[in-house]
Amino acid sequence: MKWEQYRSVMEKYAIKTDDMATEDAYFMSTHMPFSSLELFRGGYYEEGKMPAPTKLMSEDEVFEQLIYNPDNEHRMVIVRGNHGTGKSHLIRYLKGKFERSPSTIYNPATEQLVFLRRLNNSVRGAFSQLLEQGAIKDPDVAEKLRKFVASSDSKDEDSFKTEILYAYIAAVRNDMSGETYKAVKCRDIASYLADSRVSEHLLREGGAISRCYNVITAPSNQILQDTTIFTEEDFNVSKIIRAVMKQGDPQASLFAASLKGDDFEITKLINYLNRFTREVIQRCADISSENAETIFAQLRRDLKKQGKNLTIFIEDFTGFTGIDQELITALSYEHGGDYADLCRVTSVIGITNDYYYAFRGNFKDRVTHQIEVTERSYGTDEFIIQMAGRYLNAIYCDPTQLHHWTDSGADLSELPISDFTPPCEWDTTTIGEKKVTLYPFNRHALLTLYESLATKSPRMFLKNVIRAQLKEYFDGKQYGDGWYFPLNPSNAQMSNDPHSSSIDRLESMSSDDKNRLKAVFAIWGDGSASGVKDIDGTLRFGGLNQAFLADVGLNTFTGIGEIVDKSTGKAVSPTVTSKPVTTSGSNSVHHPTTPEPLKAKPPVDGATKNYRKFKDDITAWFTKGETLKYDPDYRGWLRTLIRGDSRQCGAINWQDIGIPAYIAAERLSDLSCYYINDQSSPTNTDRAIVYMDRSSESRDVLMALNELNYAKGWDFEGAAYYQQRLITWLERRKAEIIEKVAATKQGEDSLPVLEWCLAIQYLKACILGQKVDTSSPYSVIKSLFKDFKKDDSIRRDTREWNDMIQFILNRKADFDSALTFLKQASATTMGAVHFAVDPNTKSCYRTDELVLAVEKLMAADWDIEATLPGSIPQKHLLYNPATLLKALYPSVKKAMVADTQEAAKVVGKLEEYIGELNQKNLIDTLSAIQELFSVFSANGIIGSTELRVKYEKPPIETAKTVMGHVKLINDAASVQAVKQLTAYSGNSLHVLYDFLRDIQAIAQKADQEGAKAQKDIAATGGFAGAEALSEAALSSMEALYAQLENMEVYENAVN
Amino acid sequence: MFKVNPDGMRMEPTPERVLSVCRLVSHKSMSRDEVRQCMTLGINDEKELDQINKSINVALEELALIKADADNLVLAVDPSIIASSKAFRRYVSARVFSAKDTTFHMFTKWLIAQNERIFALKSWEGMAKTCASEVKELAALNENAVLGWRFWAAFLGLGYLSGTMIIPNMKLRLEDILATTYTEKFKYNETVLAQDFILWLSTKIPEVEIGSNLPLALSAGLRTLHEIGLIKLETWSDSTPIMLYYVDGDPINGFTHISVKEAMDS
Repeated sequence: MKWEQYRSVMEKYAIKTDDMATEDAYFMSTHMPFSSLELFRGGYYEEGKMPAPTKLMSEDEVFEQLIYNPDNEHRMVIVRGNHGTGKSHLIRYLKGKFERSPSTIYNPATEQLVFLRRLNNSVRGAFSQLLEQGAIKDPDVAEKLRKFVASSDSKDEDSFKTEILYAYIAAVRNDMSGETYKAVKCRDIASYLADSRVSEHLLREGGAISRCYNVITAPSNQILQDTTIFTEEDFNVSKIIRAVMKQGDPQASLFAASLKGDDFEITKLINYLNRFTREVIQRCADISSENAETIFAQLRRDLKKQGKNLTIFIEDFTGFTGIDQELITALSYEHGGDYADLCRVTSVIGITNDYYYAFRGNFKDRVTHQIEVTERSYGTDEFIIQMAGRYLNAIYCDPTQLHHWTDSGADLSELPISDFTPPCEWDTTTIGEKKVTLYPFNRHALLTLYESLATKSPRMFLKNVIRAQLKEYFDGKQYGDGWYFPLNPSNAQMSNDPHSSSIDRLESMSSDDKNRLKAVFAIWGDGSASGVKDIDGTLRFGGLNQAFLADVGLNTFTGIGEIVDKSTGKAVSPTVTSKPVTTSGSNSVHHPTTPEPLKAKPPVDGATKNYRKFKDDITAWFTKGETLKYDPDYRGWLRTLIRGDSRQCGAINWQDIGIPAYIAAERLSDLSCYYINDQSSPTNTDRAIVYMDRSSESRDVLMALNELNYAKGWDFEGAAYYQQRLITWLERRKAEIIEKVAATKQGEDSLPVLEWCLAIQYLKACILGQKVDTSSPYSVIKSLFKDFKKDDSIRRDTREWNDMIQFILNRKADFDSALTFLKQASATTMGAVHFAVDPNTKSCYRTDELVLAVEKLMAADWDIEATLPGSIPQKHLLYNPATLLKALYPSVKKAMVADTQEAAKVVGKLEEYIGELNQKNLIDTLSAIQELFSVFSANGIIGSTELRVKYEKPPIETAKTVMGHVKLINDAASVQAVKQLTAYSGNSLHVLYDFLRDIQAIAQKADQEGAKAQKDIAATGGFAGAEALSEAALSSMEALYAQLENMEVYENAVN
Repeated sequence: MFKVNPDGMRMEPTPERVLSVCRLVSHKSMSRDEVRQCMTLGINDEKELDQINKSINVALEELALIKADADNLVLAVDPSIIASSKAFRRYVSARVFSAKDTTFHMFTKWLIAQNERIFALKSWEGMAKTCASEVKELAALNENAVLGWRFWAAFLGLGYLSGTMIIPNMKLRLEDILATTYTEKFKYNETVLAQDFILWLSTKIPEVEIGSNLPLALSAGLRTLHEIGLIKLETWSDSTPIMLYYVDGDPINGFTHISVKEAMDS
């Protein structure tokens, strides 16, 4: 094959890389007849308000009705369309047809034909052709334009640019119209523009003057609009403005000051300068507006004198910037009447829609017809395919044959057909009656690639599809390695995602080849890689002959999954399939290559839109390395998969592997636990429990979850494949996920969180003085599952104990969490049920674990401080109880030191009253108190009823109670803190303090009443009747007094 | 749960509860009532008591993990069997699948044979109804029974719960078999003929009907074990392959040889 020749022909002739005109041979052999061209009458229509076309015409109808002009009607026909739609092509075809017409249609003796081609789209190109075509009859104008063309060729760029700049400055300096600025201000502006700093900035690469220079000399597709040349960037530069204000000449400085910080003034200046562009171009060409207008007027006069009419074809009017208005004017005069000296003119002018709408005022009353080339003229499937076929044939043809054909009259029925032979039967199209190959494209590929174009036009299709793809194909064929064919600019994906994924998993292919293969199946094939073995042994994958794959360097692909053998109807293994089969002999197509792309798209609902949106996002993330846009959705799906939710179980049986549902649910609830590589949502990756890398497996998992989410179940095509990928992905990561959820390495004992929570509950109960039934582990558990509250009736006698209570109140949330954890993490709820369980509702528990934990705690006397982890992560569900315990144990120790000291103190004080605290002494004291209350009663002394009642029961009972508390305190004196806490929890200290306070009160009362009685005796002296009674009472009181005195009541009462 | 058909397969006796009952009894033998008291912490609510009662029944009557000793319940198996959930699962697995007349076994067998068809049934209820209508012996099967079945099915490694569906994949079930009994016949790390392997395997997984193509659940399990490197499936050109359930796009649809890695035993 002549790969080098094909490429050379393509780039030099058929689909040229520049905008220069195509040779006739290639023009004629590739020309596609236009149909459905839209005809409008008149020249003025608002953009977007175009009426329906008067009629639709084929290119030949346009020719017959508008170009052929036997009645010598004045016609100005503009051919409109967007860039690349084929306006030039149509005009060139019309011109060619006209030129080749018989003399009854085109008689050179009576008709002057002028054809101005689309050369570089520059003013210079346009002027140059006017000269070449002999269209300029005025010798002065011709000479000036000739000089301009020559000088723009010969002058160096910098001096031409300077000339342009000074043309603007001169135009401004000479503006006396006063329309925008007063004349004096215009001179200030001219000085400002002439300032070296401003000039340099305007002359910079990409600046205003460069743009103007390009319009005049360089190939460009720009439309010169009023706002094109000068822009805000040329003047809104505060550094320059400040410099001119400080250092510029007075006029420039004055104008600079008016610009400073004033956007309105800057915009006004830009608009003002842009108005001079036409004048500047004419000035550079040294022609006046009048000169320009005479170019065609003079031509028409001369032709009239010669008895000739004028038919002028202008491929692209954009190049006439600067003299466009004048040319339109000159062509628009209808011959006859006041213009009897002018010949009839039929002008056909190509013009872009943008240009037309920008200058529609110029055309309003001048244009007689408009032909608009729209997508319906070229956008049909057959147009695209036939056009491709013609270009491919021209590229594959021998250039000599094509030139010969053109020279022989270019009869389509005689068009040479290339001898290019595809490696297997292939799609064709027809030119006239002849078949031409579409290889290496097929119909599906051509239409898919056309559809993927951002701008759908013949030019874009030729450049970005045919030429771009062929270049890679030819390179691949010529050099053999480093294949890039096919290109996949729109990142088209196979519709069969499992097959696409399977290709990604092939180990025998490079990553580039996998992408090429997927592109082939997506663009050329049916979107799958399904294998079929034909009866003749031909292998097809995704509907494509294996020979084609081999031809484009994808010969290592031997299929995925089963290959259906059409001869047996059975599936065969890929390994037993044969090597690529090339068809010999008949070139007929047995198999339609692939289905046509779907044209009519059904309306899509929101869920479908989302499904597609997610799919595109996931695909772009994997194939193009883009950032995931919708990762919160995907991470939510992952959460449901792994953790489950209130409606469904997760795919990991947490309870079954010893992790309570509560722990799994809580640890995996926050979306930040799930991290996908290159997700758009910011997150702390250190917190991630589930990490997803960018791999084909991850892509498949996300795809699977998208499908699952969309189908709301597993009833969708490819479900088994996706399940396989999903479970494999999960199994690969399961151990790591479990380790992170449980915060325990595999093989290590799990964290004793239930034990910690039980310890917290126990300490809390003791501190709050609540009873814990420690008769059995079971009763302990039952006790500790209560939510202990502070009992306000219980008063503590040390600040440290009250501090512990306050600690519990302050850390209520932490204590509550520990209880919730205890209840929920030991509950045997399963799956989704767990989410509906209120921690306070009844449940069924794993009591076996609780019993073991309690037994361990009891054995340690509830002091497990030493076993708590040394390093504890903060705000971690599983470590929070340990954190709380670590804070609580020191408080307990501190409080126990204080309470032990206080206990010693109260015992000491009681002994001061009672002597050694034994049962006998206590009974004696209590008996004495009862006797004292009897004396008070007998003598009508009002004592404390409360105290009397409190101590009226048998002294032995009170003595035993007191002794019990004393024993508790004494026993606790030498044990560890938590055991002391248990001892003091029942508030023995407070009981003894109460008893001490009672003794003190009673002693004080006895003291008071004794003193009073003595006083009364002394006062009543001679009252004989009373004396005996008083003495008896006094005797009794003295006995008591003595006893109380022995108890050193005085001293202690004072204290 | 594992009673001779017909069995309601209620949801209450979950693997977690049955294991907990066994462990509690193992720690200290106690009466049925004491077990109930212990595990409900004294709650005499019918629902909780029912959960424990049914769990005791499964452990006592259906799996014989515990037994009655006078008025008390005592552990009937080696304590190592309840030391870990893995050991418990493997013990239960062997017992459960060897009893072919249970509703559990019969429904499992039917479900595995359905392959992808179950996806279209969409829900547990759909599965129950379809099975009831197709399998005469299981005509009484209802949604609750399948809801109960799913926890044990997932626990014993028949698949993965996802929404109202089980993803058929016997990875864990196979792993248990290969870890516990494979060396009775073969050696780890040695390549064996797929035919021999499947012949042997068919005796270990009576719940799977093995025909010309392996069912989806078993195929998926083998594929997953292969993907994560615990087994290696190979296709040699000169041997007849065992065909896996065909999954379009999957690179492995058959194998002629297999080697089980020693890591399986860890």
